[in-house]
Amino acid sequence: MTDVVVVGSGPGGVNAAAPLVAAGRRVVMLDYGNEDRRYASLIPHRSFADLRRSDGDQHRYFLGDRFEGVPFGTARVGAQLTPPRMHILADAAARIPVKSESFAVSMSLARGGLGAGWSAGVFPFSDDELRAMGLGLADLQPHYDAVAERIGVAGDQDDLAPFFPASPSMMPALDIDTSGQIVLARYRGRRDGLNAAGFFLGRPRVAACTRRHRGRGPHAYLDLCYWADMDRSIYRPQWTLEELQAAPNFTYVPRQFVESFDEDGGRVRVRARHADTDAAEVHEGRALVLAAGTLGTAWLVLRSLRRYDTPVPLLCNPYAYVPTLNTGMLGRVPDERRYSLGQLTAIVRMPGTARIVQAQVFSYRSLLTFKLMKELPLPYRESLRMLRVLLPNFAILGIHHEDRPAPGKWCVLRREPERLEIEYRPGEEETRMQRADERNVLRFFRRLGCWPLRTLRPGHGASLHYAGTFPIAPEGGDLSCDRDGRLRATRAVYLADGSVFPWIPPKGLTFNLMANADRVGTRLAERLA
Amino acid sequence: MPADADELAAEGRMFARYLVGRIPPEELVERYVAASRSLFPAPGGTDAAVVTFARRHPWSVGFLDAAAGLLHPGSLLRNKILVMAAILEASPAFADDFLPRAVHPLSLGLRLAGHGTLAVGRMLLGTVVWAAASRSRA
Repeated sequence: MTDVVVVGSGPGGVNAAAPLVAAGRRVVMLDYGNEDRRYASLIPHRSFADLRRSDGDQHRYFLGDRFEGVPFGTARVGAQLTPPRMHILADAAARIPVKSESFAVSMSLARGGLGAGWSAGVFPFSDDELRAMGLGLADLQPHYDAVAERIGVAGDQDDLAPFFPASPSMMPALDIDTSGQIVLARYRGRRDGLNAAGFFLGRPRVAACTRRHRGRGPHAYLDLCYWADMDRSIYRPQWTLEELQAAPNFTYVPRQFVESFDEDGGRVRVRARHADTDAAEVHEGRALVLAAGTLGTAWLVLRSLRRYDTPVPLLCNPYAYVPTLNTGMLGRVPDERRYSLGQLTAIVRMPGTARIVQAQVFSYRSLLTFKLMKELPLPYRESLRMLRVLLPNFAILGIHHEDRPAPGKWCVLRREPERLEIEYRPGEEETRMQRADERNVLRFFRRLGCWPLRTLRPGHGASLHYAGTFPIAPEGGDLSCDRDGRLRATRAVYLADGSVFPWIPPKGLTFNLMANADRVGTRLAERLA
Repeated sequence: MPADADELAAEGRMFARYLVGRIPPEELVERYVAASRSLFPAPGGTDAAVVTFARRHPWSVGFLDAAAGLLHPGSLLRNKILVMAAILEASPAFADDFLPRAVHPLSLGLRLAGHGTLAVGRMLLGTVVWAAASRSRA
């Protein structure tokens, strides 16, 4: 009999499966497994700027064969995906209907899950942050280290070190672009005063290979991170999945839409439908690990346990982005040799509190100008000419806030027609506090020569950091998890995605859920021995 | 009545001339025709009337676009110009018209002021032109 059935091939699924497979357990992974079979192979191994000037087929992968890369209407969550990445969201909304007027949902049925488009920021939680979750750094550190070695992490030990536990297997940091260098240089010139005021800046840790690592990389600085996985230098869960597929005790079963599970004696039975033929399929194992993404797992758990009309909490890091004018870039020619993801990370301590806010600094380089033209209320001719000369000077800030449970944030499964309903309405005090925190962050960036143009809030759900539906709780009801990630309403069902986090710091969740998934898989492997 | 291929081709050339001051190669015009047929198969009402007006009076495109950007951002005209912009941008022949360009800070200020002034002027006149176009025959 199969030891463990794992549902989902995203960051949680593959990192829960890896220690199970390494320990010799028989693992079957069920996955819907959408892939891009159309665009990625069209993109030559040349820089973004070079492709723009020379590739006559670029319209296919930049715009899409059906022009799906040309967004109409108001900016919505998912609109930032490029055509080679649009498969990440395909089919999910149709398979798992969601109704919400306050929350924009993105779910994935792709091979690699939402991780197939991850922005690769590695931001481990601190001991204090983990203790507030009923865990501690001692519980997670071995798994942070294991995952860091598995995925490849590049970074520095710099002024951000107090906020992120050390990782022994870090490769040298990626080279940041001209705009990032200018902002960092200004920070270093004012460091003491800024640190005393609670502002810390450094290069982000990125799940990228700056040297050859496990058959991947090194990063070639082609500025194509949003379009293609050149050299596999940026981590995607699919790379771990391929490693797993080489193991004799691992079986990958694609085109499975998992609909429910139940327990019967010493086994867990998982019912699925083939995505293409709709044929019913049943898989069994001694245990089940659910890593279908927080909302996918919520849907599966609630319908399997027949818990309709039972709200569960829902968390999502509130997110705002702020285009700023980096005055240090005026008149400078930006480097074409660069990587596309976040160039700098800032941690800001809010005065008189233990609260922090995290900001990432991006340049707008390897996305297309027409997408920004659309967002301006100006004639396109003039907006094109203005953006061309403004864009080299932009530093885009992405600001994340922490999230904690509150009465206005929940998810519930309804029937007839069956759907998830989501309500996400933070209280006035919480919103006021976040706005004040954003103003504080922007004050610091003005001191670094980055002048905010406008604060844009793409709506709740935009950060894609979903969590909290079945939280780890020392003593909790049957819709909570114990410290090993076991869903208390079950004997042998474990959760290995964002579902289990009872609150989420403003740091990116993905690396943390991967480490926790590794911990869940490791402990489960021991239990099944 | 949907526009025929020749009308769409003329429309594409008109939008390209408006955006970048040049007529694009036929390959890009054909791409625009295909996109327009696929994305906007059966326009009607005010949308169709405004686009037809623009086709008949190419001088009006900039004014109509300016009015649309401010008041009718989801209009058919706006979307069609956006599609042409996307097609031009994703082609080697026009890449440099869209790729970012570093300029001297003084030049930056002058350019922004100049383009900003033009934009405002177009918007003001554009509201009048839009009113006329939306009442014209589709």
